[in-house]
Amino acid sequence: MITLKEALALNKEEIVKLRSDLKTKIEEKKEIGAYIEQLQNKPIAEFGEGIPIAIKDNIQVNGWNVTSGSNILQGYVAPYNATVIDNMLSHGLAPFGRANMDEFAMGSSTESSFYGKTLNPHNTSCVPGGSSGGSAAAVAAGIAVAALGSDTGGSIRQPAAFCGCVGMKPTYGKVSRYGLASYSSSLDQIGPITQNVEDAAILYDIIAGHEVKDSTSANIAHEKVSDKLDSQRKLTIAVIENYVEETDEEIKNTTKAAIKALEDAGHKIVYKNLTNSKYDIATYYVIAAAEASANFSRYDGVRYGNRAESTNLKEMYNKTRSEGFGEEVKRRILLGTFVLSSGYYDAYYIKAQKARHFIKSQFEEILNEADLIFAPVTPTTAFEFGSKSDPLEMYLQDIYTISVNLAGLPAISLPIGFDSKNMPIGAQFIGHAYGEQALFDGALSLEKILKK
Amino acid sequence: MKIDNDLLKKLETLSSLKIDENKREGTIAQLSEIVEFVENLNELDLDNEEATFTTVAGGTPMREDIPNVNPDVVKTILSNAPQSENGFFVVPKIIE
Repeated sequence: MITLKEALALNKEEIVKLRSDLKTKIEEKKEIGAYIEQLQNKPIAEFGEGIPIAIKDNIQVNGWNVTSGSNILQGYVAPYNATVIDNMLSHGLAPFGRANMDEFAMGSSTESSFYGKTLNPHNTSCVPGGSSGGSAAAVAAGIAVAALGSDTGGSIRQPAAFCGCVGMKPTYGKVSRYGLASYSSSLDQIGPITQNVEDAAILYDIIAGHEVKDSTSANIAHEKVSDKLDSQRKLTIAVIENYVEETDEEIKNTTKAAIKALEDAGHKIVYKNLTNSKYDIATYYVIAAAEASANFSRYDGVRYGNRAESTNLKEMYNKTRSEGFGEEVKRRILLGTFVLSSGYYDAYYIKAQKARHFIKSQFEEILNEADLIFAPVTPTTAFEFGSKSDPLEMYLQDIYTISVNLAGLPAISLPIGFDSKNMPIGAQFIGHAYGEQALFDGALSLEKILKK
Repeated sequence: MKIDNDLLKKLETLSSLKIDENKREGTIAQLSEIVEFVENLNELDLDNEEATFTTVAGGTPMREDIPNVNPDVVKTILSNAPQSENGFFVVPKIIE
């Protein structure tokens, strides 16, 4: 597949041909189920005529059905474009196809989508990861130039690692959430999933910037990174040693080889530890569930989406929500309601907010001495469908990604090799808040070394 | 702490959700397991940490409360709403 950088050099007729060829490929690779249109046998959703970019099903595109992979939003039509979409359109890019996802971005396998499974292009009996599994699978299968995903606890980086592509989560506030369906508002960020690091930087530059309609959007001018990429810049990189040691043997060895390569390329490597990641998971599930339970009160059947047949209003609320939400979404709403309810609020919610400070300060301490942090993305490579039936077991898939969202930092996942079953292995760099330039420089450096 | 059926009922009421009879036991077990896992946080010494958190430097800004209506947005929403009439959303009877 042509890269985004190459596509940006195409003339009008060539883009028309690219879009038409892409439609044929999407049709031919229907079994991957990366796009909701592939799962539903429908023509690919389009808006505008630019370079085609796959869009996760939770980002508003005017006139599209945008459903967060949920039954409760069937029939909803987005009435406006998300800021990221308008930014793309003004740079010659155009939304093209709805990428499948875990329902409301709650999951690590894309198995909870209302529309069905997305397969991992490297092994179709394995999951593509999640929740942006459709976005990552589309790029990996060569049926998207690039894609947008969203990352609340690892939902861009983990599927990118499972599918062997690059996935980037910007600093909280760098990319506007205006038009992104809210899951956990203090953690959610939109970001690029691409074929390589440079494309990720290009797409990040296009979607980043201040948005007055988003009060959590950082009010600072965007400094372009893609025209200043420098893979020769020597950086101090802090390796999270305890994370590396915990991963399975093959990931551990591949990660250590990547660290050695970084050192040989002239980067200064220091070794650090982070507190047991079980605290990150615990903090995340309290905060994300609490915010979700508040955000999801809007899905009541009154104004949009699916409404269940009922004779009175209270029954309408209960039936619409009970029939419209899937199991995992209901579980997190109940958990969020619990941690916010009177009598438990201090012991759970306030405690998690305090733990969030603790987690953030751990990162700050390490980043005082380093430009970047280097860590694994996942404890294993892509797992098989149905193999994680216990919710808590699925939550533990996010052990190395979640703390980055809690601290609001930027991070990028890139492929560093394959295991003995030929499944991709990823690693992530984590940067200073608003330190995207160093993040992309470090990632580009490693990508270049590994390509040699 | 263990979630029991009474607490689940309370949470269902607060969140306008109804868990099916055949799924209650499983839901109670899963929620209890997750809550017990969350209690790992009790091992941390957090007494000196702040109780509120924001990742937005300087907090969120205030702005003037100026109405701003895009008629196309209104039209799209109302025409795709489950039930609407004369610019209103229609819902089942609220008071018998």
